[in-house]
Amino acid sequence: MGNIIMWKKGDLFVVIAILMIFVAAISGVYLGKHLTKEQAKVAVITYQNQEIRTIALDLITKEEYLYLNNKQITIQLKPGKIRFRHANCPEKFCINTGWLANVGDFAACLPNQTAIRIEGYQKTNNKEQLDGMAY
Amino acid sequence: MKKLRLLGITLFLLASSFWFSACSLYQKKPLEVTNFAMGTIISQKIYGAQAKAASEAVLRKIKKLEAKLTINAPGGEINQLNNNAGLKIVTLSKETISLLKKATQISKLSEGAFDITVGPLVKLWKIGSNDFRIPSKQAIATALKLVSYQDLQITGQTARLAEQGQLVDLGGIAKGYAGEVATTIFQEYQIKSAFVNLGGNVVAVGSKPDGKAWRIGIQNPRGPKGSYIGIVAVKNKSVVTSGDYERFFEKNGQRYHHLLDPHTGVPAKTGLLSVTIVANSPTVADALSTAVFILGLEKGWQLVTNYPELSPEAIFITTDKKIYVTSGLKKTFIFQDESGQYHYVEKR
Repeated sequence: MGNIIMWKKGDLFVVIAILMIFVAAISGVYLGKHLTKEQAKVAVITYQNQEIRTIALDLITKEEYLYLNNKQITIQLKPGKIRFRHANCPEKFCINTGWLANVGDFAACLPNQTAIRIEGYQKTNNKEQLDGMAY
Repeated sequence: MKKLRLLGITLFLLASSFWFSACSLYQKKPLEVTNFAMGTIISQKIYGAQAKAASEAVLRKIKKLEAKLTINAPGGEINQLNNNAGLKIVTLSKETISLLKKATQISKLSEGAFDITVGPLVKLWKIGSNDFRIPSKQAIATALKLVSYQDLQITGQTARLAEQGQLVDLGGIAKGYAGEVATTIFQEYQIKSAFVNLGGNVVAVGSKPDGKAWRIGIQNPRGPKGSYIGIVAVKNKSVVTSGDYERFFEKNGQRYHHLLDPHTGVPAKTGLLSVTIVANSPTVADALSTAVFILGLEKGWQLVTNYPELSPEAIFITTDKKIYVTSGLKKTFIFQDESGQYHYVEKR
C-alpha cells in the first residue's frame, strides 16, 4: 500500500455520517432563520445608503434612544416600534411620519441621508408578502 | 495514518459543501440599495451577477437627469428653457427634446389635462412646502394665462417658450422617465429581474427569479402609509399612482392637493381619490396617472382605453370609495381591502 490513500469500508461510514450531520445543520439553520423571520420585525437604519444598525424590535423591552450624526438625529425605540424623535432638518418629515411598527413602514430624513425601514414577515400568516407599494 | 485520512476527508467535505452553499446563496439574494435623488427615495432590488454595477449606473444616470431636468437644478436644461421664456430659442440635448416631445404628445391626447407648462401654478400654490397658501382668484387667473403646452415650440434640437414668465415643470413625468432609463441600463447589464421604486413609482423588470409576477400593493388613499386596497401582480410593467393624499394641505375642512388642473388653476376635483396606471412604459404611466386623475373617471377611462400605444390599464378609486378596474387588469388585480371601506365594482 505504501503512502497511497485508499478508500476503506470505514471511510464510507465516516463520509455518510458527516453528510448527515451537515444536512441536519443546514436545515436547522434554514428553519431557524425562517421561523425567526416570520416572528421578527427588524428595523434597519441606513445612513448614506449603508446599513448602520439593525434592531430586532420584538426584543426591545424598554424605551431606548439612539443618537446619530453627531447627535443631529435622535431615534426613539419602544417595544415593537421605532421613530425619529428629533432631527435638525427644516421640514421634519421624518418626525411627522411617526411610529414605525409594521413591516414595510419607512421613514427618512433626506437632509441627513438617514432612513429607517422595517423588514421581516408580518405575523398574520394569511398575508402573502408584497414586493412593494405604489403610492 | 487513519486519523489523518479521516481529517482529510472531513475537511474536504466541509470545504466543498460550504463553497457550494455560498455559491447558491449568492445567486439567490438580490442586491438592495436605497438612495435619495430627484427629491425622493429611490430603492432598487436587483438580481444578477452585475447587480452592483447596474445599480450604480442607474444612480449615476438619475443624478445626471436630476441636474438636467428638475426645476430646482440651477443651470439645468429646463431652467435654461424657463429663463429664456419669451426671449430666445434654446438648444437642448437630444434626450431633453425627446422627453419634451413625449410630454407634449400626452398633453395633446389628454386635451391639456397633463401639461408641463403648469410651472407658474405650481410656483403659486407651493403645495408640499411649508409656505403653502391659498392664492387669490386674481393671482390664479394671471398664472393660468401662462399655462399652455401649445406655447412650448420644439423645432429640431431647439425649444422655446412663447411668453415671458412661462415655466416648464417636469414634476409629472421626470420620475417616470428615470424609471424608463433604469430599465434600459438593466438591459445593458443583462439584468433580467429587478424591482425599482422611485418615490412610489414602481418599475418591475422581468419577473421574480422564480418566474412569478411581482406583487405590488395599491395604497389605500385614506389609510396609513403602506396599507392597501388591493394588489396587482405584474411582469415587465410600471405601476404609478397619483392621489390627492400624496402632497396636500387642509384648510377650513378643504383638502388642497398637488394635482393642479391646468384648465382651472386649482386642485382637480373630479370625484377621484387616486388613479393607478399599469403600463409598459414608466414615462407614460407617470404622465398618464396625472392626466387621468385630473380628467376624472369618465374621461379618464376614455383616455386609458383609447390610448394609441402600449395599451395601459388603470385602477380608479372614487370619493364614494368605489374601485373600478379596466378590463385588461381584471385578471391580475386582487381586491384585498383590510379597511373594509371600499367596494369593488367588477362590472362597468
